[in-house]
Amino acid sequence: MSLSSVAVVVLLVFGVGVELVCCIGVLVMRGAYDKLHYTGPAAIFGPSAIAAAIVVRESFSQAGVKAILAALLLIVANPVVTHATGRALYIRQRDHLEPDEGTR
Amino acid sequence: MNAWLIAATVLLLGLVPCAIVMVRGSIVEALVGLQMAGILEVVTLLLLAEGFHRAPFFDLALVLALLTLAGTLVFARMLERWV
Amino acid sequence: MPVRSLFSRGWFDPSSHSAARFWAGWWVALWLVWLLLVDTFQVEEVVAGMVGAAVAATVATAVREQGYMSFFPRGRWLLEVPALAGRVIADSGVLAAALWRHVVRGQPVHGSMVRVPFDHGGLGGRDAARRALVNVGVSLTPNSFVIDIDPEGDILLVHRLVPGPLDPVLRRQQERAERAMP
Repeated sequence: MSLSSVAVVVLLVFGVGVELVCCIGVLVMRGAYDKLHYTGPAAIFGPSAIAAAIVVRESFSQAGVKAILAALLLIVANPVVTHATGRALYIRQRDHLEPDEGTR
Repeated sequence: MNAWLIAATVLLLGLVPCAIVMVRGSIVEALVGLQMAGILEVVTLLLLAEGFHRAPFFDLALVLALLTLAGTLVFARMLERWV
Repeated sequence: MPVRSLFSRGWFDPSSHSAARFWAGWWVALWLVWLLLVDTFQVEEVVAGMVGAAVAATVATAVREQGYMSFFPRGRWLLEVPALAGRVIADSGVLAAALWRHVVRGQPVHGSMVRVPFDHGGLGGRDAARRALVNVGVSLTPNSFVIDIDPEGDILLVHRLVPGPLDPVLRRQQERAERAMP
């Protein structure tokens, strides 16, 4: 087994492992706020490891470049989505906690 | 069957906890489950693209990453007040 | 009409030079991305990329000219990226430990909201860029994410899963807010 094959397997195991652990985190944590935290490592380390494995295998070919772009997109977009989801929950909770004016 | 396809198959198991959260959780918890499932699906498509040596699947993964971002943002915006 | 206003200002108007530079920057960047994605220098692909990039750059410039998006970051903010990367790795370990405590030892893990003093700033492009990048930087680190920025109270509302000292981005913003207070 060549060094690059070993590197690919290690990266694949790491990437898939991180994703599955984060899925367990999303499942077992109580409340949406706590669950949201586990999407972070899933969007950063999983795609990065898989993209790195593809680059090791394919070098910076079209496949490697697209894998890197997809990983970068997830890394940059996930914090935005996390913030939006957390904010949506906060607004929903505030709307339920604060009475509407005129209903008293 | 190669390492990439095995990894993609194992990763698909991660959709089970996401589905449980989506079915049993509150509506915002379901959105978190959807966000997580979207990440899993992009990574799975990358693995399948490499496993099957199909270059168009990489484009699918890129497009899915963009659409997941846009779709989840729309859901989050709607959940603020209108659902 | 935004496209007409771009071309009616005339070559001697300084603002049209700025728009031209903006258009050129977008055009070059998008064209390079196109060439990266198609991975070929065939004439048809090169020309298609130039045309597509020109259309997209025109739309981006038109949006900018309407004032819908004001975003002018400082280049030196890129110096924060290595520390942020280190923080992401450290926070991932914190989250893994929390999950271990919760699943294996059965200890409850509950996050909490933290109110961090934050200088909201004005409506200009520099402050808007600072708010956006602080939001992304804090939300990128797994142990915390921004829920809301209160412009009137000058508060950054952050949710943290595991309590602990503030990360460098939040600490710096807190110090900046305390300096800006009368």
